[in-house]
Amino acid sequence: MKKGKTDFIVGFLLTGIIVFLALLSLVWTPCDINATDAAARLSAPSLQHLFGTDSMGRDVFSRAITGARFTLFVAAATVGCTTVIASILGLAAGYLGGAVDEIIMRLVDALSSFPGILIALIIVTVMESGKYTIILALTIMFLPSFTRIVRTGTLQVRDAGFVRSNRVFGDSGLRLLLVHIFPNTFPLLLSSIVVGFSNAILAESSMSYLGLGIQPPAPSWGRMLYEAQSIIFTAPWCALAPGLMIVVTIIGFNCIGEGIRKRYLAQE
Amino acid sequence: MRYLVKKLVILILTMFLISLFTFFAFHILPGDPAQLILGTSASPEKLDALRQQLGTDQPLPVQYRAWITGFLHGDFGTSIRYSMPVRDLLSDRIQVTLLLGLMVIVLTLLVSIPLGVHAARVRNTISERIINGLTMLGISFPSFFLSILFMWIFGLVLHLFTPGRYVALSEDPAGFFHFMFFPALAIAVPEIAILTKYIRAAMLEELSKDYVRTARGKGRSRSGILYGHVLKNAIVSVIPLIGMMIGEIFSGSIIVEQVFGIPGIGRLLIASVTGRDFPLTQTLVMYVALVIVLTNFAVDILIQVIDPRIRLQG
Repeated sequence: MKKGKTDFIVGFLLTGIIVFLALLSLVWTPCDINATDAAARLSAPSLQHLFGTDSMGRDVFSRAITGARFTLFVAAATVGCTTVIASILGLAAGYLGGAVDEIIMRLVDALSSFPGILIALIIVTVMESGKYTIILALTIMFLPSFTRIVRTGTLQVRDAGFVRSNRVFGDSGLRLLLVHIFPNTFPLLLSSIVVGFSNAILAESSMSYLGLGIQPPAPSWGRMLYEAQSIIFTAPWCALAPGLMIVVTIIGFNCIGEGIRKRYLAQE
Repeated sequence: MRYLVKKLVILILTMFLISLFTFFAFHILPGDPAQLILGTSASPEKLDALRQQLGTDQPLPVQYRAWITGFLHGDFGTSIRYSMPVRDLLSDRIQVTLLLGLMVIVLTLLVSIPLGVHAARVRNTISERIINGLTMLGISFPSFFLSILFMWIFGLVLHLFTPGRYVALSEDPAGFFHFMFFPALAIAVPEIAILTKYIRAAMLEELSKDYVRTARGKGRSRSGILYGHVLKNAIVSVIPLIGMMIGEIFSGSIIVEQVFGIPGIGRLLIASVTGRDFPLTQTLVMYVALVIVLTNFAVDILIQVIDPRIRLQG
């Protein structure tokens, strides 16, 4: 058996389910996500309401799968932006070296000595809270680690034989960088992208829980948990549905990450 | 010694950059603090008055200098929302958050060291798979969900504590630690999972070294080798990680204080953010970043003291 196969199977299965549900919510949800039903407040899970209803009689399943879409969007946008910016910074620092490297890395060090949540809080304080502010905040939060990874990968191959020989053959600096050096950072970068997904989901739902992320009435897992907290004893399903969906998603991404690590990176 | 000086220079540089970040984030990003605090319907006179009070009518470098010299002299400014010196707001809350953090560290070490050692011992068995599964679960639960689950299961179902009823340390120390155990556990779970993984890896690496074979050859018992030789070396290689965990523990504490209603620094920080209390947020961010950077510095020095090998490499 190839290394990490079980991790990949479990990982893709779990994330697959969540992504499917999130996409499904684009075209169909069992109930309108904002439709309240006073008669069916806090009803337990049933065939009609798969995950029950909340204190306003809204269908928890519909809201949870719509929340998946928001959360996955924020995570994907964050990881995408971070990868692009960090690649540019990391390649520049690793390839050019010298003063450029020193400046970029000092800034990255200072940035990473903040706990990420502080950066996010600063940005949310200064700007209006919402989807795009969260993406910006999380991007800045993840930049240091991604930049370091790209830089390390660049340094490893910058002076390798194949890069030098291509330089002799007259490849321009940019071509060397993009065609020969950058792809060598992929295995490491890929595993941080996957782990970045689960970190972004954790961070986004925490911020939304605190009321600083996605704003109601748009459903988000974090906010749903906040609303469910006071009624956990009478209606545990309101908290369990979004909570377990977060856990399943994160386990899924972590398993894929573990699989990548075992197959491409482990020295054992 | 040269190492120490180098570290000190980097420390000062990092703190300077952090103060720049913190300061300029609040001044360069769009939005006039006075406008944000008073709202769009405020009169120009009121806005001017507040700008003067906040000092935002001065040029930026002047503002920065005033802020940082004040900070270094222990004058943390005045909170808009509470209309009292930030310093007075901090004093009781620091104690709460620090104690919570300490409890988390103690819990984490108490659980993850034996667990990590055990995991290294039972390589390739069912037991190892169970530990792997548990660590995977541990890093996958967001701290606020875990906190809510704890309040439900330990609080409302098993009646081990009363959720929402915070006990002040000064009133009832035993009650305080009893209550704080559950939030501390909620923060500790992911840390335990991560540390267990690292300790296991470090143990396995140490176990493959020559001195272990020698010790075995001399006839030392298996647990004698594990705890007497291997663990000592493994712990040293894990200490940098413990330094990094300080930041994570604080992040966890921000959220968990909110869930459990604990009056600590984290809760104050969130209140200042939602209340748009700029001076308070700015100071808190700077203060916390400072504490974390200094702790990491202390950990670096500690490693030097514990492990002469690094000192020699300088």
